[in-house]
Amino acid sequence: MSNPFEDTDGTFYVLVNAEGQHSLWPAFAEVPAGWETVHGEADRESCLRYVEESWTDMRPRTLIEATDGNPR
Amino acid sequence: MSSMTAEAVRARMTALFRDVLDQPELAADGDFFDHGDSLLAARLIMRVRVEFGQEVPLAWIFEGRTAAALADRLTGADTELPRAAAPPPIPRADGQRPLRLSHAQERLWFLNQLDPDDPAYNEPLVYRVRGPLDTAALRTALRRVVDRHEALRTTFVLDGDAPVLCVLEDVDPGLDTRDLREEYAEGGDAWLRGFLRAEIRRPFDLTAAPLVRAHAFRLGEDAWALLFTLHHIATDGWSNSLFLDEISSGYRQAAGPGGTPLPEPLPVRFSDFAQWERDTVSGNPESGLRFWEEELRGAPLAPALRTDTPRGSGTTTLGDALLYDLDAARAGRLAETARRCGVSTYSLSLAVFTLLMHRWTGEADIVVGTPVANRPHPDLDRLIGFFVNTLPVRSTYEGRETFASYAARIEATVRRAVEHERVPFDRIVGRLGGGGQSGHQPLAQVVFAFQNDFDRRLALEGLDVEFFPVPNGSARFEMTMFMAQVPGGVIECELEYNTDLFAPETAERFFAVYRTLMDGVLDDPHRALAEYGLVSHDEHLRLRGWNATDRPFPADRCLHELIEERAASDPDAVAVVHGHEHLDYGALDAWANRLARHLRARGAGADTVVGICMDRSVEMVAGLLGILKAGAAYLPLDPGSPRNRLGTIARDAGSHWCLTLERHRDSVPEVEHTVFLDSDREAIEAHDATSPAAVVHPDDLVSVYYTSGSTGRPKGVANTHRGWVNRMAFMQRLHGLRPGETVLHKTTLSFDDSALEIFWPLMAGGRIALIDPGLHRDPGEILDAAVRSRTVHLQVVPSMLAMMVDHVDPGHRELLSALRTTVSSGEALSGELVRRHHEVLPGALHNTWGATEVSIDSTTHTCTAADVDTAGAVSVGLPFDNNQIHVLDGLHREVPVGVVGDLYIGGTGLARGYLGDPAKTAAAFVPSPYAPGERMYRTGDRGYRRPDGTLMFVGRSDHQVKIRGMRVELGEIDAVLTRHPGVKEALTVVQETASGLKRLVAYVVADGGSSGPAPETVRAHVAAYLPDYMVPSFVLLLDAFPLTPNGKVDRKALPEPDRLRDYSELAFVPPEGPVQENLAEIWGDILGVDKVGVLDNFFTLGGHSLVATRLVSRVRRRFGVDLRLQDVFGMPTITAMGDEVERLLAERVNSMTEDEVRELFEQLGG
Repeated sequence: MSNPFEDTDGTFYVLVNAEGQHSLWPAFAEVPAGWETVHGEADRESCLRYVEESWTDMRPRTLIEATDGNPR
Repeated sequence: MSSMTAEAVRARMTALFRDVLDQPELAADGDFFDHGDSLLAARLIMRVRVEFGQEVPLAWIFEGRTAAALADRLTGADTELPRAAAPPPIPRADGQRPLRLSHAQERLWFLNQLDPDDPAYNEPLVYRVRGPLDTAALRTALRRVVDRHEALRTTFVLDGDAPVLCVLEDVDPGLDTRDLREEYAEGGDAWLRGFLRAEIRRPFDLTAAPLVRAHAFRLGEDAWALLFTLHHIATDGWSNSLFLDEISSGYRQAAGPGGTPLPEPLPVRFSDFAQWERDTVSGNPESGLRFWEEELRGAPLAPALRTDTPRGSGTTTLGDALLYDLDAARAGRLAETARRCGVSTYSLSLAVFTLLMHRWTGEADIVVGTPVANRPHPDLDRLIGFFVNTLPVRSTYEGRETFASYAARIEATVRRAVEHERVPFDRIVGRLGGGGQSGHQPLAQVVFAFQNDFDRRLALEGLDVEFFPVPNGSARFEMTMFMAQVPGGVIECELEYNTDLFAPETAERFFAVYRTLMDGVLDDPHRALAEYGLVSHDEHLRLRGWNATDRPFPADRCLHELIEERAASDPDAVAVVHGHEHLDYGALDAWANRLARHLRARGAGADTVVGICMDRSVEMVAGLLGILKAGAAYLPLDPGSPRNRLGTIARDAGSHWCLTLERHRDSVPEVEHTVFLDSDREAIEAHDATSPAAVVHPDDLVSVYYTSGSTGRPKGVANTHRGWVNRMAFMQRLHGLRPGETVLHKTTLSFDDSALEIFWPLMAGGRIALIDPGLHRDPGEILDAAVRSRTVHLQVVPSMLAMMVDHVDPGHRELLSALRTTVSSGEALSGELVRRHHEVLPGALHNTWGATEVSIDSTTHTCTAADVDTAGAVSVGLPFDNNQIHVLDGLHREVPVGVVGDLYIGGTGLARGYLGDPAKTAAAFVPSPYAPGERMYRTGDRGYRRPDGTLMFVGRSDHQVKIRGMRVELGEIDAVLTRHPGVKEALTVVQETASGLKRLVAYVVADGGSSGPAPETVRAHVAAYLPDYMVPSFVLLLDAFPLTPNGKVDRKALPEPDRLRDYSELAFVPPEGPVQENLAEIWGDILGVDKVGVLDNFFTLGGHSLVATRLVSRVRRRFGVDLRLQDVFGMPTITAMGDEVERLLAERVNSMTEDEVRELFEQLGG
């Protein structure tokens, strides 16, 4: 009974929340509230590659909005 | 049979079904398994064989299920079937020879010998009676039953060393009649139950007949309690129903006007059966045993259930029972679902039970026991005696199988078992082994029993009789689930459990989850096994309650700002003490401001990472604060780690700055701006002492801690101010540090617990006392520093705590009077260590659990005396402020209390992620199903909740291990190993010696045809890239890895390192002279190594501080000299240590007489 996120044979989605944070999500489970599907269903490798390419600024959106433009 | 018409066969068959099932209204097409189970099926087939003289296979009833179908098959198959001769009668046992016991009786007799007072096998039958009871008639009825059934008037006596049956004639069981009206009027039912229970538990003397006791207790004018207690060695469930039947008819006979015929005489006696069983089963045991051997090959012998209290060395039978009724509607749906799945009600209920066992324990292969009637001859049908046998039912789990298919598999298993029901349980156990293990019953510790309603029914003419369940306070197995169909369609469920092993709440939850699973199956039996939920709505609410941890904290502030407030309000208070050095808050703040300005002038600021490469010092504290004030996050770089690794980490973190001291010049990685806090002092002091007022947001990074990464690259955990402020605020709420109080800072900076020792005191206006660099591994030094500094708090890993409690002398306790709390973290804490802490150290002990990824830790538990008895690791407690813990199964759903699952942490403490690694972040920080839009961290730890919500840690789901409290991913070591040019493949494992030493062993396969690199070269290669605790103690060269049949490395087949030592160990230089030889012997002994060379390193052989302490005391005993613990750390080879011992010996010899010297050298064998 292994962890669903480690299943290299499984299929996944990439989900994104309002903060722009990306997460892997096993395709068999219902997409939880507050998250949007942006990639998949696809294999684990493809999903991680997608994350690698699109989540380039890991700061949460509220932090970016609160601080960008201000000298720090 | 040719003489019977098809209609006649059908009618006769229907009558048989009705009789066996005790269902007078059953139709010809009524399903047998709506009412009966496999056991009754066996009984029915026996009757059919006798009735029709036909050899009918048992399988037919499972295939046909109705009287009509079976009758049709019988008539249609007339010509094909072998004609069953009436079974040969059971011969009469020779009364002149000693009468042997049956196998089952022998087992019970043996248990009775072990503990004659154990009432577990006293079988109570209790009834409430309203109406004018004729006690004389009841007595007569009883007497008749005892006259009729030999088993009830048999005693067990020794003939030589073997027990034999001694059958007595003319035994009057009597009827104990007592007037309890007064007591009952006063105490009511509660009193009555207690009274009855005491009566039931009275031991039987197996050498005295009869083995039945009967009582009629008068409770009112026309109210009685009837109690019959029989010893199991004389009865079983089936026999009890015969007993009650005959009491009913005997009473009617004796009390009425007469005329009711006495039952027909019995064709055989129990002693005949016992002899016949020996002759037929024991005479030819092989075929049955071969079946069981095949059936149970490879089955687990260890118990599957985790108990609340550790299993002792012997088995106990103290127990209690829980009752629950499946109402008629649900019972009806149960029968309907079973029919739709094509299995019996019994098989379906059993399948839900075995599924529960799989899901509850997480085990994919389990064995439960189930009783079978075991009356393999029609003449035994009406005989009272102990016939019942327990059969092991083995179940395997595959999460994707549907329940319906699984239930069919279980039914097939039961059917096979019933075909071999005559093989006594003990003989199966004997064949499989495992019977000699103590502490639990062999093979089956959990039993499922399905009974039928007539089992317990008693009818007394003219009286209102009601069954009155009174458990006898025993449990024969760890858990037994009884299900019984009773009139009115209800199914009574009873869970009997061993109270020495399980708390009542655990049994209640086990029972509740059975019902939840049953409901799921009744809703839809065609779902995959893994999909059935275990958590009911109520349980879900309860789980949610334990995560309701919301509490306000300074969420809009940054860590350094809270320290600045302290500095502003009391600048003269002492902040840091190191030896004779003191630094007050004002000076610390000013220094850190200047440093911050210095860093900002060089480009550091928000969203940058600044390295700090120095050991414990006042400068280090100022440096940390300076980095935060600059708006940057700090990156700890341990000057003791290989420069290569520090360089890799600094580059990975994109850090262009590093703070350090002159003495670490050789360790500091190459970065753009290296700032020496000592030699660059002048330049730093040139800056203004006021705050640079950098704009820092609570979501900005506070620190980047690198932890071992499984794919070979360490991961930088990027934590935020908000998470850490919450962590520190909780620390202050729980431990309440007062201004001026001291906290000892002893933990290495690269272990994130050190942050608690530094920032918490500074936020609370306390002072930090620093222990010298290098001394944090010495328990004596830590205790001395704790005494000197009057610390109120100690932060330790359990392995260090173990050394400290060993090191404490009675004086310490008093000298440590200021110590209020010791916090254990980083590793599992044992109950034994809690006990020793409570004995020798003052103050409370807290155990914490969590992850760097969620702001250091997330749960806490205050240890109590109750923890001392914990079997595994002590509880890690409940989530603290603004943290949530979830225990989830493989389908990402919550599991109930008591069930092991993956541990997830959510809440304010979550790190931003892994620095610069979005993919690893996305795979580890995953959506929370319980907080919309929020994430939680997947820890990789496994654990479960106790009934009070507290968490228990049970292990890891991957290859991460902890060495001296530090997280180590074995994969990271493998990756470094394979980077060596001479290494093709590598696999590192943790070896734990008998004495509990943990050491890393690397197995490598050489690249190409070369003979492979020398192990020492490989170790040096690893040491150049990884910290010392990650360097393997042994490197073994293999030609190839042993593989499992499916091509994976067979870890179990890897050779033990000790055996191959000569072949692959470090260059071996043997010890010379008595001092080296004696030292080598001591090392070998305490490190568990066969041969020790003089160049071997004590610590790479697995030694750690605890073992070092042991070494010092062994050296003292052997040589009479005091080696200092620091010497072990400073000179960890036999060569160096030998020189020191020689020097100390020389000092000692100078003050000795010649005789004493001679004696010493004789003792050393020199």
